[in-house]
Amino acid sequence: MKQTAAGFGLASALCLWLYWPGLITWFAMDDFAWLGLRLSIYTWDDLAAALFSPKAQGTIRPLSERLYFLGLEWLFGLDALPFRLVAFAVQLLNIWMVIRLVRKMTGSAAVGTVTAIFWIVNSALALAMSWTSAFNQILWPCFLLAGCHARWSWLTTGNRRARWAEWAFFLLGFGALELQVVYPAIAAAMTLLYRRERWRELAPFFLVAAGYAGLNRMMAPVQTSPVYTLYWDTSVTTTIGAYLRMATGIWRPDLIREPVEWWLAAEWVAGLGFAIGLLYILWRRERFAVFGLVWFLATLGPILPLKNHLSDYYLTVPVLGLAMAAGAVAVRRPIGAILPAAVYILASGLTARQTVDYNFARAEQGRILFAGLQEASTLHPGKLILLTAVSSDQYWGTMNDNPFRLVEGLRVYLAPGGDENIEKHPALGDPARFVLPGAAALASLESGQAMVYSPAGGKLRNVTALWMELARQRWGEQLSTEVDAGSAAMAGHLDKGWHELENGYRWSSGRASLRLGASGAAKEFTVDAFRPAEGGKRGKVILRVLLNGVEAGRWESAADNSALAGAVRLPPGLERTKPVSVELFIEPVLQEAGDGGRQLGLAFGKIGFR
Amino acid sequence: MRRVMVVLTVLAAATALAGCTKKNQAIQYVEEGSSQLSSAINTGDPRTAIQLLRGFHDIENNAWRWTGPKFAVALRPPKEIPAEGAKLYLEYAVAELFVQKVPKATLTVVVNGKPLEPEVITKAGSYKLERLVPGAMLRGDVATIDFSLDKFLEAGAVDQRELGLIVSGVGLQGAKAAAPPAAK
Repeated sequence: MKQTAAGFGLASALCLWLYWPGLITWFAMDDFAWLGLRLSIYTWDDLAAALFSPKAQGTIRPLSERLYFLGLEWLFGLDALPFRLVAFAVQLLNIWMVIRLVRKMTGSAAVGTVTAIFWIVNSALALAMSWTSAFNQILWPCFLLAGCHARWSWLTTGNRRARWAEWAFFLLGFGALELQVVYPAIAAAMTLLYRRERWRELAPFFLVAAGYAGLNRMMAPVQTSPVYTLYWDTSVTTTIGAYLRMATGIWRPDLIREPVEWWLAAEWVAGLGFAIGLLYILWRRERFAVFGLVWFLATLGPILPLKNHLSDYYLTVPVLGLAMAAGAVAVRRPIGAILPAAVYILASGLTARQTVDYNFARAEQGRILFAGLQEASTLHPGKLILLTAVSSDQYWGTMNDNPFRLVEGLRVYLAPGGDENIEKHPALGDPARFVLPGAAALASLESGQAMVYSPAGGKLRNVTALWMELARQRWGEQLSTEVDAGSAAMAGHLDKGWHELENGYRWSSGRASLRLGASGAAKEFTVDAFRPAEGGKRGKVILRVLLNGVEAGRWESAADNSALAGAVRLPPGLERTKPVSVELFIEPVLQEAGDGGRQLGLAFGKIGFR
Repeated sequence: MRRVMVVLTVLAAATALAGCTKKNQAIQYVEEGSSQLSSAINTGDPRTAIQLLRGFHDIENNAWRWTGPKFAVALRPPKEIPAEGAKLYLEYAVAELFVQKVPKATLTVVVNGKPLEPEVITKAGSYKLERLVPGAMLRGDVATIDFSLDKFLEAGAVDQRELGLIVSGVGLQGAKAAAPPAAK
């Protein structure tokens, strides 16, 4: 027991030392999508949907993603430290369980300690140790290892409570990651290698796993993106080759490091050393090494058909299996293992630390940007904030998942043209969706409703005056092709017949007009409007739209229909290169009660060309 | 074995504590007053990033940026423009990798919509493009300079990004040379 505790102390100290920056790393990328989950919850049904409805790629991870984010955000807000502390605590628990399990299976705490060390230093763990959204890769092995402990106890002692515990961990594992379906294969390996007479008890595990896999496939949306499409063909062999190289912790397809020859040599020494050691230990018929290999293949297997989505992150759990086999070899033949083990620990550990440092720096950029914008919003309450000179790292690391919606009153856009220096990744999103149109941005600035900030170089700077100079030249003559009547930024486009701005919309009178930019290659004119419940006062309401004086569209809204949204093809004779005058006629109007009561037509949102 | 483990654990714990030096940075926030656009910019200076209109990748080594195939900057025309015109310059480097894949490329230069003499690129190395820009082409408070390469490194050729030149500075010089602000 003391040896196990000492091994745990050594391995956990190494883990903390290597991944320390991950403990203080802020949120990044998908984290903001998960943090925004709470914004969709108003009722108990919403909560159930937030916890259990399949998300992108059909993932349902109530424990490792939904509850983790909802619970900790509810308790601690946007402080990342509690999230990271939980992740590190679970990983330390994993290390403890690895050492204990290996000691039980091999009788050697040294093998357990070396296994844990080999696992910890593998750079595949770096993402999970420094990115909150990857917590599933830490929580899942926790359930796998706990299940294995319970199975071992059941196999060796016949303790019935252990059997119930195994079922509990098995089922809970589905809450961490859907890949838990592979647990029966790992349990089967343990059973067949150590107590093969008990193989009949495995069937219910396989049945539940098959049932869950079928259910998950039914619920998952059909994948249209080639990135997440499963390819059941010979490409699997290429993929497994790439993952075997990545399992050294030294190579990644996207990693270019100098001197290339040195890194390649390190990869060869570690890889060849492992291969020779594996052959040796299999020749010795060491059951534990076979168990490690099955662990590797079982946990890696389900992601092999994803040939377009190679990621070292997927190796977080599989490499533990290789670490088991390598750990057994290293303790049995320490002299022969010294060189490959030292090269692996140094090269993979260095790669891991570099990855963690990169993730830390990227998240820091986001944290500084986010905090700076909160400060700007406090200094200039109610104003729009336009960002310019946002770097690709800042956009893809922070902005793409719209973290600003998490703070009430913070309204942030990209300034016009602010997306033009950002690298394009269509599979991840389009920065253009954050861009405020040029004319609207300029109008907001001229009326003092907006400020422009630049986060270039990591320091948030107010560059409003500077940017105005550019904007006047670039967008001074322009009008937007689409106007949101419910946005203060667009007020400059509206002419006569409009009432004061209300909460996200604006009432027209019976006749209202506005100006739009040249329609260019647009195909349709679209309009979004609504009428609140009026108690049948008006009956059917008709909206007519004239573009440059020519009737282009006509909509009718029945008395019981509050929304009015539609699109019409643009008139053939419309001048495409000049601004367009838009007139809206609404009949009948609604007269507000009392002296000075307003004449109301419809409440408008977006109007424009598409 | 047990003693060795205990000693190693203590050593590792001490090293872990010693290695925990990384700290979260302080929030840096600047409310600057009115300023004006520069006539000359260092692409490695984040303060002038606002003038890089399009086609520039992130800063590298605090000194320069890769461009894409088309890139543009906004510059303030010099106050005093000599009769022969203001001098437009572009400080750039051509990577060895670039000429290996693209033996010959042409860089076109357009100032406020009007073209200047193009530059032909055939060798790796550091260069300074210089062109005279007539004062008539620089009316107004801001000049937009568009650069365009006819051939470049496609995404995936050596990087996931489209790559063109390595640009460190660009500017317009009038009667008295405008010195770009030092990179910070």
